[in-house]
Formats: sequence, structure tokens, C-alpha cells
Amino acid sequence: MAIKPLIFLTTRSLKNGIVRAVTSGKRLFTLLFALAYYAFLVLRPTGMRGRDPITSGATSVAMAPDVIQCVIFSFFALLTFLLMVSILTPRGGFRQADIDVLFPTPVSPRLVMFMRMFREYLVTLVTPLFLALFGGRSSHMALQRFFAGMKGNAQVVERVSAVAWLLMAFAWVCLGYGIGFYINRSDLRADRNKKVIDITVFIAVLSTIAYFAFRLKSDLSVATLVSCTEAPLIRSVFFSASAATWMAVGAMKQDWLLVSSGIAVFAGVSILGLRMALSQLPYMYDQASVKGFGAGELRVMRRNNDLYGMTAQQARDGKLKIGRFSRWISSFRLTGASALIWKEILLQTRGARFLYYFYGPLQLFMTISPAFMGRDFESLNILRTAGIMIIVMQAMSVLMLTMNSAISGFTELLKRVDFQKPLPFRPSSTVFWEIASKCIPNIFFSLIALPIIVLIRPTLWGFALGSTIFAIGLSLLVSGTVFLVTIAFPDAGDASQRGFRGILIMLGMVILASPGASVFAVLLALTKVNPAIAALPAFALCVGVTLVVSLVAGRLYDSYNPSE
Amino acid sequence: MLQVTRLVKQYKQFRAIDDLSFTIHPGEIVGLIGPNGAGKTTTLRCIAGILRPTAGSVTINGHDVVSDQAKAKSGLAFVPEVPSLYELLTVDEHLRFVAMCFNTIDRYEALRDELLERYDLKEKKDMLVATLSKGMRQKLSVACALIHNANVLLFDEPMIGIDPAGARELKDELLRERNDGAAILISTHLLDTAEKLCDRVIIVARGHKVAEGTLEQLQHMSSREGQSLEDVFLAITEDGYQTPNLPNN
Repeated sequence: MAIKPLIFLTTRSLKNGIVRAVTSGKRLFTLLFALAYYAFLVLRPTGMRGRDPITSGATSVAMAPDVIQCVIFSFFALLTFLLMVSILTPRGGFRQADIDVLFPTPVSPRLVMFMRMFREYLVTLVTPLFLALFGGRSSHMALQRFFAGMKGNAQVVERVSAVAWLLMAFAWVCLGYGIGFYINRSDLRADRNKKVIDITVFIAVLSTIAYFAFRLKSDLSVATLVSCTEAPLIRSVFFSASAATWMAVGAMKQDWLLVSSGIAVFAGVSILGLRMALSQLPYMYDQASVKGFGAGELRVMRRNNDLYGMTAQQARDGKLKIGRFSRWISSFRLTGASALIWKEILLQTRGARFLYYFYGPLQLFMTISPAFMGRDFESLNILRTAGIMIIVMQAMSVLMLTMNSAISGFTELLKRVDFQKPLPFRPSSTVFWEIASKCIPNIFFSLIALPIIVLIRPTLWGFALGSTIFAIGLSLLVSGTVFLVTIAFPDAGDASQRGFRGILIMLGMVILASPGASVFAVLLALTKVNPAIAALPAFALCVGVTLVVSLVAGRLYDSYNPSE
Repeated sequence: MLQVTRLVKQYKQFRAIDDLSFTIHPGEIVGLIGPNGAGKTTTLRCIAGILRPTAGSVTINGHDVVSDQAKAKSGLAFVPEVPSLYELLTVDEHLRFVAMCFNTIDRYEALRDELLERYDLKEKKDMLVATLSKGMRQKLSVACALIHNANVLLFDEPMIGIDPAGARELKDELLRERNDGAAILISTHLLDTAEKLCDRVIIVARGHKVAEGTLEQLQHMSSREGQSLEDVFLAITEDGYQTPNLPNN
């Protein structure tokens, strides 16, 4: 039977993956840590989850049928929206190994497609389960209260809603495959079709938002919200939510015709999607090897924070232009370790533009806005509060911008280690310059913010300068911490290691930054010394810790073998 | 037998293969050579049923690779240039998976041991593919191609990444398969290998076939009698070379 090899592939890969995760010390440790972390999220003690609405005395209120209908429709509309936007992506989730090994075999593409659909169906089904799981007991209690408020047929409604979700997920998987295959073929007609579908989804989403905004602006009430969810436009856009609501409400009212109508809609959509998918089946392998794999790669890069990899993909597609600033930097002639900085600025201006465009203005906005605080700026208290706010905002900007710049930059560094290691620098020196170079965007925006703050409120010059000095030191330290954790847990492809790395970066930053931050805070709180002076020992501490981190990370970098 | 007739593959506005025709008979090794971007890999992928031809047809042992996919592919083996394998399968499981796909699991064990021995993979039988070196992966990919007794073999740059002993073994294997009646198509940049190994050569450039024949025929065609395939290739692919009228077989 031709399905046997596909089942063999799935089960063996799963089994070997689990065995591999538990037989290596580092992998096992990170897996256990991740499991413990998620278990804590789900099973954390009741006292840490806020007030229990039932034990705290809150009582369930009987809800009107139209409100119940509105709640059910909103829930299914949210799921419909998530499923709707996912239909634009190439289907199948094929890997390069599928293209090289599976596609040239005589295994029927139809069987391959059904297996993929089945897998995707299972993944789709558990999506709301994850949402409920992370909500923990709170979401369970909310559901209990909702059904308690329904009286009478609550149990039937609960069961029919579950069946509606099973049917809805299946219908969308079928439709997703049909449309996904139809619009992702590697010909010009498919491009036109993709544009039509893209625009349709965009108009649907936009018109929904516009409709809700228009109606709720004039009358923000539960009645308006209920009437919005009953509007033909909304019911048509979220047709699958409408069908699911018919089923659930039909069960509540014991109107079995309504329930059957909902089932009929899902059956119709499923058949339509399946027919479309089967008609496009001959193009499945073609689009997987031309487009799907690229999309899969991009997904992996996004998951691994590989910003440079994503930009390189854009360059391969001819979508990246070298800007003037980048050309200007390129014209510099530098020697020695400063070439590492030169390379980094070039890479950042080409590969991490997003960081500049998004976090740069955000940093400026956050840092400068406290300068506008209060009217009576001659009051010492307001001046001091604004100054402290500037320091806090600078520090937060550092955390956001440098952390992102460092994570994507060091992911790129690990990929180029074969090229960079033979360069004539000591490992600790290479590491220090790499760490320093990831702070450039932060330093750049801090230095822009400084004169602007002084121009707006000259009296804040001490705080502005102090925050800039501290931000530079903190930026170095954040970058160093990210590098240390990245080189200690370098396997970006391992999900447990990746998750563990994220947690450890946050923890490491708190621990390593606390000496410098504490000294700065104590000096500001207990002495009347100028903030610019108070920032100096904090800066020195941050730089000192970064140097130690560079030494430790340098050793790890020296012994790092990308093949392991 | 492999027959490619007026094959066209178009990616949006770019035509990667344009009206390419050739036939490879049983017991023949044919080299597909051409500059970078000539369409060699795209041709192999169309033959392997990975890419769907925009026009034209590919038949393997008389079965069309689009309309009669399963039968066409059952006699085919494809070794890509940089093989991506299932990293979470062991070497043995990988071979078994391919044998299962080709429905040759009953003959698998005897053939597996022979191939593992031949390609130095015996000790790595129970290791995950993820832990293999690049060269070992290439060897495993070749072993996968040979595990189901295909009679049309496609190799995309098969010698790249394999050590000299492995390369020698592979050359011997190709000659053995040819003598057993297989039709073999090799895409390669290694012109001296192509010269020694191939019975015939097809030269492609910008998706077109610019020359086809034995070394002697190509030497005569390009007025480079007695010269190497490299000289002939450079003469034929240089700008200004007038492509002779080639028969579409």
C-alpha cells in the first residue's frame, strides 16, 4: 500500500526527533526547561492568576439569546479571520528533502496531498486548544460562566459548537488547499489570480473594520455590537462563522433545520475546496519546488530571527536596492579590527533596515517625549521626574533596539563563522568588536535624541547626557549578553534551545545590568550629583562587565564548531 | 529509455528551457553540459517529475511523466546536486523509505548491505542523516538512487563533494549500470569526467540545445578535430557560434 512509506516517514521522524532531544545533555536540559516553563504558565498557582470570578462571589447572569448568538459568532469570526488570512500562503509545508527524495518516487501526489491535508487539519484543530490552554483555568471558568448563563441547552450547544469547529476547520483546510494551489502556481495567470484573492481578502477585512468603526462610533453599546454581528455584510464576509453560529444557535433553539443549514454550508465549501485542490494537483510539486520551499525557508528564518537571511532572500528576488548611505559607507578604506565595524554598518544598512525604520523613530519618540512633560518646568520635582523618565525610556529603547539588532546580527555571525574565524584577530577581540558593532544603531539614535532634548528643555541637559552615557554602556552590555547566550546555545534549528535562549537572554540581561543600573539609581536617588556624572560609574561598570563577557564568549567562540 | 520532446519550462516571463529534445537509449551514458544558468538542473527536475513542463513531453520507458506519473517514475532514479535528505531518519531508514516508495522492499535487505558496503556507509547504518558529513550524504543519495533497480538514472553533478575513492566507485557503478542496460543522464561541469564517461554529450546554453553528439562529432562540428571536450565546449558556447540545424529526435 502506497501510504505505508508516508506513515513510516512521519512516525520514524517523530520517534527519532524525540530520541535525539532526550539523548543529548544540552538538548534534554533545554527541553526540560521549556516544558517546566510552559507547565508553569498553564498550571501556575491560583493566587498568581488574579481573582477567580466564581469563588470571588461573581454570579453568572442569564444572557439574552441575541447576546449569546453574538458571543458565539464573534468567537467563530475570530477563528474564521485567522483561517482566512492563512489561505494566501503556499500549501503543503514541503521541505527540500521532500523535493529531492519524495517527489521523484512513484508515490501518488494525490496521496501526498491528502496526508498533508490531514496533518494540517490536525494542527488547525488544536489551535483554539492552545489558546484555551494558555488561558488556563481562567478561560475554562469564562466558558463555564458563559454556558451557565445560557440555562437549559448549554451542554448541547457546547457539543454542537465543537462539531461546528471540526467541520469549519476541515472546510477551511480544503478551501486553503484549493485556493493556495490555484494562486501559487509559477505562471503569470496565477499571479493575476493571487492579486485578485489578495485584494478580495484585504477589502473584506477593511470593510469589516470600517463597518464596525462606523457603527460603534455613533453608538457604543452592546445592542449595537449585537446588531453589527447580525448585519448581512459581516455575516457574508465571515460566512463560516455564520454557518457555525447557525449550528450552535439551532441546537440551543432545537431548530434542527438551522443546524442542518450550517452543516450543508461546510459540506459545500469542503467539496468546492477539494475539487479545486484536485484540479490543481498536477502543479503541487512544481509550486512546492519553485515557491513553497522559498516560503518555508522564509518561515524558518523568521522563526530564527534571521533578519539578514530574509533580506538576502529579498536580494535574490531582485527586491533589494543598495542605498546611497550604504554606498557612501562602502567607499571608506579601513584597516585592522575597525574593518569589522565597517562590515557591520554595511550589513546593517542593507540587512537590518527594518530595525532602523521601526525602532529608530520609536526610540526618538520615547526618549524625547518626557521633555514635553508638565507646564511648570521650573518646578524641580517635574524636572527631576522628566529626567528620570528620559533615562528609563532610553534604557527601554536600548533593550528593544540593541536586543533585536544583536539577535539578528549574531545569527548572521554564526552562519559566517567559517569565513570570519580565519581573520587575523584574537577571538576575544573579534567578539568585542562584534558586540560593539551591534550597538551602533542605538548609539546613533541616542546621539540624535541628546541635542533635541537639550534644544526643547535646556535645563534637562544633565539628564539627557547622563541617559546617553548610560544607554551606550547598557547597549554594550545587552549586546554582550545576547552574544554569550547565543554562542552557548547556538542551535537555532532546535525549538527547545531557541526558546531557552530567549528566556536566558532576558535573565542574563537583568543579572548583568543590575550592578551598573543599581549604582546609577543609588547615585541619582541619594546624592545631588549631576546625572551626567552619576552615569559615569554606571557606564564603567557596564563596559567592565561587557569586557568580562567578551573574554568568556571569546573562548566559546574560539571552540565553536558549526558542524557540530 | 528516456525521451524528451520539445520541452519548454517557463517561470513567469523567464524561459529556462526552450524547445529541448533528446533521447537516451538503454545502455548509454549521456552528459548534459552547459554554462551556469543554462537550464541543466531545470531539465533534470522536469524529467524527474518535480517541475511541471510548460510544454512538450518527457517519457520514461514509454510512460509520460505528467499523465502517467507513477509508472514513469517507477523506473527512474534522481540524484540532486546538493541532496537534501530527511535528517531525522537513520541511514538504514532512509534507504528503507525509498525502497518502500518504489515497492521494492522485498529485495531491499540484500541490496542494502551491498550498497552500504560499497559506499562505506555500513558503520553509519543506524546514525541519523543529520549527523553525516556532506560527502556521506552524497553517497547516501546515490545509494538511494540504486536501491530500487531503476533503469533511467539522472545525476546532477554527481562527483561534487565525493572523495576520490567514492568518485571512482561511482564511475564504476555508472559503467556497471550502463552495461546492465540503464539509460543514464549526467549533468556536469567536470568536462574531463564527461569526456571519459559519456558516450554522447548534449551542450545547452540559455535553455537551448546548441550541440549534441559524440566527442568526434562535436569536434568535427566545431572544427576542433583532435582537441579536448573542454576546447570544443568553449568554442561551441562562445558568443557568435552558429548553432547547426540539429535533428529533434
